[in-house]
Amino acid sequence: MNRPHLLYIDDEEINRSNFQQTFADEYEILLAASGEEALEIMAREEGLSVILSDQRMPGMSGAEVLARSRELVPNAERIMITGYSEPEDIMAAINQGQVYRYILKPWSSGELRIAIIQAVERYQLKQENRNLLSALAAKNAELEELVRERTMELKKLQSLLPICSYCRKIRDDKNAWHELEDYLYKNTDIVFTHGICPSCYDKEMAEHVTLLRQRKSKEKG
Amino acid sequence: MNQKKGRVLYVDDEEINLINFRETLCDDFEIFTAVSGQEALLLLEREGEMALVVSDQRMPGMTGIDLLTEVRRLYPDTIRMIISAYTEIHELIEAINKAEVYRYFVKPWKEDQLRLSIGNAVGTYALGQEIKMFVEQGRKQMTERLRSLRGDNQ
Repeated sequence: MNRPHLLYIDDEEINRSNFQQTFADEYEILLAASGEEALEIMAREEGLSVILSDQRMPGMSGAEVLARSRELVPNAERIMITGYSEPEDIMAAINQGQVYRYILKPWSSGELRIAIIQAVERYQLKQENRNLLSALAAKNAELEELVRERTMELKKLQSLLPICSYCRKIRDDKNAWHELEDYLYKNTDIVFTHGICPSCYDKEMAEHVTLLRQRKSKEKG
Repeated sequence: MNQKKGRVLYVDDEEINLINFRETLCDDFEIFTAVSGQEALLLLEREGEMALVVSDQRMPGMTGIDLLTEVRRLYPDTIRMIISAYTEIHELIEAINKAEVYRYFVKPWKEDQLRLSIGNAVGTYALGQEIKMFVEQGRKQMTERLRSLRGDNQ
């Protein structure tokens, strides 16, 4: 099961268990009671899709946690869920936290659910794009290698081949001489099937026939 | 080639702000201006996609958030910013949830901060475009390579 992972940060126990109960059926839920605890989870956990945080907590504020999360989990989407807000808090959420959604408490499960669905979708879309990008790069590298190999083969076959006029040996690029059959076998995809051509047949068979006749006349004589 | 870093559209109903904005940033960026949301949309249709649209929030007719929501729909790659004299809570929340803004600034703006953020926004846009181009180029290369491989096999 590969369900999207959500991290919810809130200093109030009741809110955490409420969130857990509402969304545990659809998502893998991680909970943190403070910004510090959340940062530890971010450092440890891979593949967080969405980070949701309360704004007002003792210690680190929600905007601060979300701003820090941009370095630790740059691909995750960020949502602020908060009760009473000052304009400065919201500005910090935008300008430092780069939040995707801002939800006011008490949240209705419908509104929050839609925001989470959209955030997960956006995360997955970006993830897919990243995967496609690296797949494309890998495929291109593979093709490039294949083209290079083919070009080499073609060059081998298309280049001038020095051949001995008498014994029909081939000279390679290192000045060594090879039998024609060996050379073609090593440097091309050609596989040989052996047979006899008509003129060789006549020549070879003629010798055999003569030999046989000689043997027979000796036996008779 | 244009030496300036990117195309930026600034929308504000007060002309003095448009002049001010242009004066501050025209050395680094190619600046376009419009006095209303409607005019901004017409300008975008005429001039094409911008790297960044910065808008005032409170203007007669279309608000900045309405404009940027429309910009987001029409040009999803363009980065969006609000500069407003007001920090009303529901406007701020709408700037996030509807317009999905990159930054929200309060007037009067601090020149350094504005310049830095606009530079970052334009850089983010350019990176996105570069990735798009990389993908397109990669696709083309792949097609070419496949074609040349098929040619070799014949």
